[in-house]
Order: sequence, then C-alpha cells, then structure tokens
Amino acid sequence: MDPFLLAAASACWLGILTSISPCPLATNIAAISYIGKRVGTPGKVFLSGILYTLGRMLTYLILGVLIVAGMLSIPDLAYFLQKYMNTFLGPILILVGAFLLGLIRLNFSGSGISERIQNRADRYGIWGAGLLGFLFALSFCPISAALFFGSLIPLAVQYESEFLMPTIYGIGTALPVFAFAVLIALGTHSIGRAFNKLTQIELWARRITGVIFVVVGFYYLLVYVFHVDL
Amino acid sequence: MKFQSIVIAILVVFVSVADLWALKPDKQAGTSTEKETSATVLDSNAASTDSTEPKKTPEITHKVVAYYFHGNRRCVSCRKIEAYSREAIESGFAEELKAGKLEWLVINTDESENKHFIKDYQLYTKSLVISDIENGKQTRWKNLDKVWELLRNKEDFIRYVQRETRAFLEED
Repeated sequence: MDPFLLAAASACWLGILTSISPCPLATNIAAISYIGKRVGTPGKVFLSGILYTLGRMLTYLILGVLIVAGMLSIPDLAYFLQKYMNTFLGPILILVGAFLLGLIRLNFSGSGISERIQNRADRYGIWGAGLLGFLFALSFCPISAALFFGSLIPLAVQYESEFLMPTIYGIGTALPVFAFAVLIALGTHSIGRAFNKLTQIELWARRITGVIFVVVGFYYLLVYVFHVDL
Repeated sequence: MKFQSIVIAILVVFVSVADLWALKPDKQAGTSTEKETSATVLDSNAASTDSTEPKKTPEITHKVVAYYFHGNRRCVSCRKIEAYSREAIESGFAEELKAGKLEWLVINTDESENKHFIKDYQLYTKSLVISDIENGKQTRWKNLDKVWELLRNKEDFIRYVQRETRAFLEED
C-alpha cells in the first residue's frame, strides 16, 4: 500500500480514536442530539452533520497549519486550549441549552416579525452545528491533545501534509457522531411518520437536546471550573 | 413568564460566578493525595530529594529517570496511564529501582516550581518521559507518546514502556 495512503488512513483512525475515547463523550452526546434533533426533515439532519464535520475540520486545519508553519508553540497552545476552552464551554452550553428549551427567546414583538426571526433562528440553528463542531474541536482534553499534538502533527510534518492530514483527522473525529446522529434521526423519523406524530417528536427532540446541553454544560462547569472530581 | 425570568436570573448568576471563579489565579495546586516531587531535570542526582529512601550512591554515573507528568485535574485515562506505567517500571525493573539506576517520579506540572518541565520536554498533555542522565547531565530524553494509543491494550502498553526503558538503561 502507498505509504501516503497508509498515513492518511492513520490520520482518520487517530480521529476516530479521539472521538470514541471516554473524555469527549459528553460533548459528543450534545453534538449527536443537536445534529439529530430535526427528525422531521432528514435532509437538515444530514446538512447539520456535514456542517459539524466541516467545523471540526476547520479547527484542526487552522491549528495544523499554524503549528507546522512554526507560528504557534505546541506546549503553549495545548495548555492554553485545555485550560481555557473547557472552562468556557460550560457556560456556553448552558446558554445554548436554555435557548433550545425556550427559556431565552428571540421574539420581542408582533407575530409576523417573530415568525421571520424564528425562520432565521432555524437557519442559524443549522449553521450552529458548524459552530458547535469548531468549538468542540477546540476544547481539547488530555487524550485528544495527545493524539492531535503528539501523533497527528508529527504525521503531517513527516508527509509534508499540513492541510490534508488535519482535514482527514477532523473527518475522523466527526464520523462516529455524524453516523449516530443520522441513524437515530432516521429511526425516529420512521417511527414518527408511522404514528403521524413528527411535529410533536421534533418538539420533544428540541427539548431533550436543550436538557442535554444544560446537563453537559453543568458537568463541564463542575469538572473544569470547580474542579470536582467526577 | 415569572418562572422563566427566575430560571434565567439563576443561570446568569451561576454563569457569572463560574467565570469569575475560572479567571481567578490557579492556586489549588496539589489536589491529589499522592506524594509528588518537585525535581529539576538537569540536576540529576539531587533530583530525588523528596524520595523516601536515599537511593543515590556516589558510584552511579549513569541513571535513568522515568517521569510521569500530570496536572491538577486527573482524568480516568490519565490515572490509567500512570498506573500502567508504574506497573511496567516496578514489575520490569525491581533490581534497577533498588540499585538507584532507575527512578520513578510523579510530577504535577500545575505547581509553579514544576512548570519548567512543560517547556523542557515540550509537553502538551499528561505524559511519560524517560530521561538519561550521565554524570549529572541529561544526555537525552524521550516522550513515550504511544502510551495514549496503547491505552486499550495493557499488555502492549507495558511491553512498550519496558522496551523503551530498557533501551535507555542498557545504553552506557
């Protein structure tokens, strides 16, 4: 097998390994529920999944290029991201969760305007999946830091591939989440259609996602801000 | 509506408190109960001043130190890496440990006196580093970065750590 192809396959495997390790489990659950929550329209689930993947790819691509170009030192960057990103993820997740639960609303006035805002929020919701991917990829935990900075970057340097390797790694990290989200959404979709209850299920999916975000947010606050050993 | 306002108010207060907490200088070093040392890298024979038994003998000119570096937050995988590494070292090199040719040190890099290790060994996460010391000077070191990939296979993990450590010990 071509060594470059083998390296690309390793990059993808490193990504999958990152994603299935226990430490990003909480954010993965949040991502799965966020991507899969539009059970009524599988197309949107698919699009959210693609955007989530693109978001993760973008993070690793930017970091990879900056590191390989020698513009950022690995220890500084790794410790900065591990310390601060996880700290701020908690509050962000709680706020997004509160928004999904309808505790924070965007509509301030009349029905026509509120409908327009609702549509816009819907569109932003899909783009939000991309933002979520970008953000979640930035919040490194020990194992993702080890695999990205310690295994993937040396691979990218060795094969002079600071664009392709981080991109493939990004796809690998998103793959399990994407697959789960699509499977769950498709399953729920067919059940919902069989019982003619799609709208109701979608409403509940949104609420459940909101609750998951708040719970994961509090988990991150307790672990990374209040240093509770969970 | 009232209920929503109350929930939002609680959330805002909680998030603000959390952020203020997060931004305050990190002083809670040493949350772990384990004995941790604050050794310096290049000061070899004096490095283990915190050890329970005086291992150094003047005749030893070549010595290998196995460092496990961690921070205040100890994750499940990180504890596993530490336990496996310790087991690999203790089960494979009991003689060398006794003779002072090999030393096992657990170091918290979140403690200010240990922060230099991050730059010295270009650390990016919890790591196992093997350092070779000849006549008080570090001659080479290696970050055993495969430990994270081998975490799911204890046998391979232990074999890998022992092989790398042995290579350092045999070099004289």
